[in-house]
Amino acid sequence: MDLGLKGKVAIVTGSAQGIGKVVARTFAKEGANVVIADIQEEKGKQTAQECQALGVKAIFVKTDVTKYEDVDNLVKTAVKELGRVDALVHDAATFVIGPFRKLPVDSWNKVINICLFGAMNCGHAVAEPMVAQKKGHIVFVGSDAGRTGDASQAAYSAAKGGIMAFSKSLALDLGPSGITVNVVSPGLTLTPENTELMEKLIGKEGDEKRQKVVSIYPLRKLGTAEDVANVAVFMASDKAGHVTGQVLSVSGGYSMVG
Amino acid sequence: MELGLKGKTVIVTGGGSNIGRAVFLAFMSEGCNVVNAELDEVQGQKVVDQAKSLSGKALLVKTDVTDHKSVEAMVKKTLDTFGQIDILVNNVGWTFDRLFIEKPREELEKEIKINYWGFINCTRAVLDHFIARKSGAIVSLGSDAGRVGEWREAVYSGCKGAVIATTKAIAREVGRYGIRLNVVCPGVTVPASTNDMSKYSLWQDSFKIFTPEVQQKATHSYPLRRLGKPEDISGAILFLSSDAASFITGQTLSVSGGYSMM
Amino acid sequence: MELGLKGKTVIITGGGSNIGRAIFLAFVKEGSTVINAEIDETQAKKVLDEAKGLPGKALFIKTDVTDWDSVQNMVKTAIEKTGQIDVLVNNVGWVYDRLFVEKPREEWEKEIKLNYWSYINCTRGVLDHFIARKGGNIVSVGSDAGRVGEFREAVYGGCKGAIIATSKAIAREVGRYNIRLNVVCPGATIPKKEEVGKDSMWQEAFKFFTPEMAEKAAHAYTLRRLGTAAELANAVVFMASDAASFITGQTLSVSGGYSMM
Repeated sequence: MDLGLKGKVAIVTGSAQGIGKVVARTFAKEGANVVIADIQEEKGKQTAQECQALGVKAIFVKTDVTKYEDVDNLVKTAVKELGRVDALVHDAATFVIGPFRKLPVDSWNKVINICLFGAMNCGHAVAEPMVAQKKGHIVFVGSDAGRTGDASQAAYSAAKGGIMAFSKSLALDLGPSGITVNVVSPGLTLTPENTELMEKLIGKEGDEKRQKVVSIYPLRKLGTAEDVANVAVFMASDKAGHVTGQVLSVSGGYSMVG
Repeated sequence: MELGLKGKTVIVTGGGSNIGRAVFLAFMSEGCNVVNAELDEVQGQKVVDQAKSLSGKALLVKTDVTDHKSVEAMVKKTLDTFGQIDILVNNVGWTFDRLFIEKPREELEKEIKINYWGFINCTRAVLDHFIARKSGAIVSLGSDAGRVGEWREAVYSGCKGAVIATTKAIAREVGRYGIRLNVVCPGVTVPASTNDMSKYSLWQDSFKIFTPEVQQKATHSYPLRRLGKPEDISGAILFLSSDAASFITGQTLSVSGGYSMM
Repeated sequence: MELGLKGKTVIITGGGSNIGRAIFLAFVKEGSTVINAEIDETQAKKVLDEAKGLPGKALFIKTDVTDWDSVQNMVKTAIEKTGQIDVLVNNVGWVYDRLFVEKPREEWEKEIKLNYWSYINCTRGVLDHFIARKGGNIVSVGSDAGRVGEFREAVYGGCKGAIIATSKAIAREVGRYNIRLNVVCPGATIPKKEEVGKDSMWQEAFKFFTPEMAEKAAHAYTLRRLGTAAELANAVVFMASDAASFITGQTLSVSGGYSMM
């Protein structure tokens, strides 16, 4: 299916690694020019190079999504270097794991700042060029934790839940200007970089502990970064042009809400 | 995006009109074997002919989705012709907008038969094959009416709510076989013209209600400030049927310009 | 809490067993005049006896909710006996848990009749009266199966999903007449053997929901236990009362956190 992304310009935050990196590479495979936005410089530049090798223009802009000036600069650089912004995917995130009442109060700040304020900064900064174009697609990476809660990730759930509410409000606000805003909601997702962390959390592949976790997923497997990236890129394309204010879970049936 | 649909065999119920027609043609463009399970033979053949220049292979099988024997025969014909089935799109639906207290009982019965029993019959008919192959995808047309309730569509809303809930339940039961079920919910989706429609299409009567003035007024409820077109819906259906969506099941996606946001 | 239910007339379908019985008794405790629209005469009379001594009035009108004529007669008789109806509780429901691919067609037909057509018939049955009075309240028993889908309850879940969606639609149409419709969703609610009549789904379901099964099922509930019929009844009574006068078109799960939406 031709998503119509060839020659379009896509910004991806958190694209130095994980889901964000695969989102950037997927955009590049579709022929879109990509702006890699991350606080990690070396890995970010690496992603940009990999995208260029796929035949598109790709630039890296060092960005701390918690700082509005950085995000504003990111969007302005994209427009200056690549001419416009057609899509923005916000995947920059962090999390803290543990029972909420046992965690220190200041452990939430980073989570809410990067995930939720990051999303709001991006939504604000990219609105201007998109409204001027009367066209644009914004995709936030949420989480099933934000849809149904997660016993060991309260702050993360709050941030991702906040992203969902924010995205609907932004969708209502920008809809008349022809801009769509949607959320992709993963469950447990395996990425090239998180193998070790996953093993710590849910055991090694084949372990009884991991089997038990996997058996909760109706599709009897965990997600991959590609699973999530496919949906994010679809939502960022004109083929999803009539989809806005929506949350789509890419989590093997972990949650079936709404 | 490589959806991996080429050569796959797809059944589209009600592929003669509006959304069904757009979905049928979209799968044909992907190089699929597509069965148009349509009740109006003449219109069904017309659409099959319209797809001549596309890369897929088309087959018309006259089907009454409210009759499980007719559905079983259609599934058998599909297997005899193409050897396997990969995807089912439950698209047939019908309603006539009236206040609940003004609805004649026969219309309620018709809505439940076409919208819910049609879904049950077709889904049940392909499942044994899907389970044997340990593979298959079902995408059903729901409606925002089934998510948030729609004025003058009380039982139609109920049927679409039923499609959503039953989809989740079956998704839980057959996920272990790699079979995925999802629902795409349009809002008001207006066909391009009255000429290219099945005689059973809900739009045969509904243009009386959805006059150009009413349509214009309705756009105000849509954040994107326009009603849907059949082509808007087919992208999401193709995507959810494909391997690109291989980790998505039990989900409901509204393709309705933001009419509902849940 | 002053719920304003004293002297109000409430119709409950299937008030003979389990959840229906608990709802019936809860309203009688509030001092309401409660009509048991039940098909099992013996079981209904049993519950009428249990209601003796409670502040409200308990009545029985034999009703087959799958039969439109029977429902219309029940409503007519109810109005003749009590003057006006204030609340309808759509409680009748039935399911036999089986995988979708193992369900005989007759069981699907029975589920659609008993769960959805019953809801349509009774809701339609009281609406003209409610619209004429410009007031009225309909609380329907849904299920988490209708919200998130339940393993081995495909079409039952579908019917409950249908109740939820139709309630929202009708709520939009009749809200202007001060008529409210809401849905309360239980999880698995296992009755005591003496709390069910011969038509109750539990006659068969006890074979399936053994004490061992119930203990295993409890793990899926955040509160680590299954709910009681009385707990569900509390929420129904609340939704039917003046304390909920600004709530309509809503779905409330009373299922110990089984689903969170």
